[in-house]
Amino acid sequence: MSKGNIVLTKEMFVPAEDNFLEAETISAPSVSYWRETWRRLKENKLALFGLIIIILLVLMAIVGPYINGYSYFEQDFSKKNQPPNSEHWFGTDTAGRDLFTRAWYGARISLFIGLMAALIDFVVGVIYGGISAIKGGRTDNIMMRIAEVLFSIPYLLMVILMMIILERGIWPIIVAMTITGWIPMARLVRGQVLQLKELEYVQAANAMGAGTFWTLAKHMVPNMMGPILVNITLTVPTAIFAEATLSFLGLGIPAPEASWGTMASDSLGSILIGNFYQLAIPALLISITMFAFNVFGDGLRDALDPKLKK
Amino acid sequence: MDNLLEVKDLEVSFYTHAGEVQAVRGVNFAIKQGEVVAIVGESGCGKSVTAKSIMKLLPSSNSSYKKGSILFKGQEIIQANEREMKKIRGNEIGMIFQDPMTSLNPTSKISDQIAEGLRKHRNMSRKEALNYGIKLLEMVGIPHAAERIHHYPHEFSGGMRQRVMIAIAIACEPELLIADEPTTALDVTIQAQILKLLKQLKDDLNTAIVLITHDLGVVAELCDKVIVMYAGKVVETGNIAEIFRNPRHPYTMGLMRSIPRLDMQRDENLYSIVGTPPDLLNPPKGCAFYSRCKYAMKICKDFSPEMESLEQSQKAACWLYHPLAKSAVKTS
Amino acid sequence: MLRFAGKRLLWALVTLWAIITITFIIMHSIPGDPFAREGKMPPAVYENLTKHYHLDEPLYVQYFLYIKSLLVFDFGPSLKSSTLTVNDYIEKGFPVSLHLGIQALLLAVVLGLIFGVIAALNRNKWPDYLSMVLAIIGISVPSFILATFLINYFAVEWGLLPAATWSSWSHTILPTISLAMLPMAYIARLMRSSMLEVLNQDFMLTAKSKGLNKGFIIMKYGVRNAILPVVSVLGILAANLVTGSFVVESIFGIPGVGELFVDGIFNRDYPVILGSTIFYSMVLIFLIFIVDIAYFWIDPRIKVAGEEQ
Repeated sequence: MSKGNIVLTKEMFVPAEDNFLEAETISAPSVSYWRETWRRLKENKLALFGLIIIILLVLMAIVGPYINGYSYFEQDFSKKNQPPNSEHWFGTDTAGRDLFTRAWYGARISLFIGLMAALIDFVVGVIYGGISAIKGGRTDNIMMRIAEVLFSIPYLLMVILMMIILERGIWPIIVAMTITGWIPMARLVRGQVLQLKELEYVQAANAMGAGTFWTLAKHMVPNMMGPILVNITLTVPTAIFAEATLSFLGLGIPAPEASWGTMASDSLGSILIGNFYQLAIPALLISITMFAFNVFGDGLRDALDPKLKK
Repeated sequence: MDNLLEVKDLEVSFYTHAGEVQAVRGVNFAIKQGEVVAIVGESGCGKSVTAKSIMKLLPSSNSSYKKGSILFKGQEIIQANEREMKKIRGNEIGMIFQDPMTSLNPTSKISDQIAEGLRKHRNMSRKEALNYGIKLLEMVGIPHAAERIHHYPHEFSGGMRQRVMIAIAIACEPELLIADEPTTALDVTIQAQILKLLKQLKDDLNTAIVLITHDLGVVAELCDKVIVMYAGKVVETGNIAEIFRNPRHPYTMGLMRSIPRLDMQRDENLYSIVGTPPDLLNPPKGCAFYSRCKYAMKICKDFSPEMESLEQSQKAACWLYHPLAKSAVKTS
Repeated sequence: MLRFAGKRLLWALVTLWAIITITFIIMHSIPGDPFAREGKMPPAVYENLTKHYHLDEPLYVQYFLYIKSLLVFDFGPSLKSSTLTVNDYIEKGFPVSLHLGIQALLLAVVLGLIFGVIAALNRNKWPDYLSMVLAIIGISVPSFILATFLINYFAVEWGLLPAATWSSWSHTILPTISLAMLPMAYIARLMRSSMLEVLNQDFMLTAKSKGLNKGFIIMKYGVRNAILPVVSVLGILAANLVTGSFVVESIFGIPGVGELFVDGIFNRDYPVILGSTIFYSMVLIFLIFIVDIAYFWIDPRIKVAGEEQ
């Protein structure tokens, strides 16, 4: 007997003995959370591109100021306002300083401010949000109300006010930025801790007598790293942006130090006399950095939250 | 033939980053005026995709009809354009979805959500549509309908929302109603009420119903015919008596045994089918149930069985009913 | 409803009090005498200041008198002039700033929503990429750089639009664009993700299964639901506009409150800085209050939750 061109024989109809085994081999290998995140991140070409730019920027911030032998503060008025040329790759500014060196020195300052602000926000946020969530009840309520009031003051306005009473310099800027900058992080951490607190393994750790802070450090922080990392990635550009605006308002890093913000605002006047490159270079660097951190942060968020990526 | 709906050799695939998922791999069935047909199977077996493809509700960006035809009153649905589909959807075919909590627009009043279809398909005025909407809500058993119609979905309970969904689906008196797991998300007592309502509507309006479910209890309550699906294929069809009294496909047998019964022993475990359905990214070339089947034979691994007629209307796709199988069993 | 509004109003007042207190603390932490500026100050001005801030009274009395003066919207005298007060400056500048702000907000909301919806409906196709590239540029370029570029090209190089000041509608175009770019980008991104989420909801399928028109479904089922998160951040966006306006107004030489504020910073004119800070805060808190109330009306689910409480 045949069906189509298949010849059916009696032997084919004897019971199969090994059919259940096959079910075992079908299940897909399970992949760890971070590896899975990394796989999804790699698929997002834009985010990967952002990450590569960030790495390049950091590298250049480290080695860039030493490449062509000039220093960031050395003035040479005989060579002022030179457009980019073979000797001064990015040209010189109104005081004859080498813009290539200054640009990467500025990268160092701007990235330092951004990363430091993000780091401090992270530490304060984790502590404040963590305490608030773990204590719960009345303490939680009061702590969150205080945060909410502070948060309703516009971020940049607060930073400007702080800079008015602080000295000008890198650390005062960082302090001014973090004075209310930690609040979003604290809220995020609190939300995460409240969720995690209900999970069994955390309750188990508590039942076994682990202190609350120990629990927070050991069990919770690694589990909340995803959303926190996204928040940090998106804090860096906010801080760089704020630094640029402060510089524009004359509250930035004092000369002869350089940040991208001061370089850009110093050159605002000189574009009217045709030295467009003096603004273009820091403007481009700020924008590229903002772009890189934003697309990387977005990509990271999508990669960590596969629900959205269906 | 006076079939209202005829699905022939339907094949539907989804495209994901992992590759092509063959969600529906050849489905045949037909339904007559006023008939109630159940499509039964585990989640992921393609029953919901089949239901949605009848209304062309699958996302066009990542799914496609690979093969086959869907004839509704003689009209080919697969070839129909959006304009033709809009005339069919809501008007000639109505649909009820699984989760009444998420199937209604949260920012729109019930009155608007009922009236939309009526105004579009029946050219009713705002006022006519409102009055008719109240009548519909009364029909599906919503108390104080004239007042409740002005409320928002979140002001209704789950069961009430499903009644509203049903009212919306039957508003234009469609000839075919597709109910995609209409009771799954509801409490047991509410489930019974909704089933009773569907039954009553079927009797009153003579609407044909395609009922998608994984719950055989629901099937027994309501249906004339049963289609059992497994891994994107139909494995057994028949009328309700045949299927319940004498299931022929090993998968259907398993499903029947996994219904809890009143006469079960206290310490008796509820039967469950071992294993998981195959991955439809690379469907097996033989019988898809092979790896879970107690009666599997050597042939099942490499050759996929065809549907064979067994009783008056009962058909099953299983090598066990091949003449050679009987002789092999006898001889071995 | 009234309960809800009352609650929000109370909250607004608490926030305002916090801001006033912070500015008071800041004023008193300025090293040395905040009014002892380098250079000469007319004695009349100094007298005005001492009188307004009651510098001869104990600190707590100063604090209460400070709050009292602010409650009647008295922002005090200015260093610039012995006769004009900060109130006079704000009165002159606010209509201009308001005009600019409303124009920029409208532009940002309308374009942001359109870009966001178009991007979501064409996910991973070129309109999506185009809108998102625009949005990323909007977020990546600080407004003073954008403003300078716009002036350089549209005014200086091509001579299409006036470069600065505020005398006709064409003068408002470049500042409005500079100011609107960031919130527009923000709204576009938010609207895109919100719309994508809504498009995945079950009720979109219900709408389609009713045979409704695509445009109707997108508006009534899609945009109507997706817009809720955008409305809820309008307050933050308004704050963004305010801080953006400092920069934009001073670059374009627009005689608004922002320029007043920036000049105040450059000249260390503390009464002006504090006065305009508090004025801004009042405006913002008022806006956020309005947005909260608006949200209450727009999302029907909140209404019931509010009433049940």
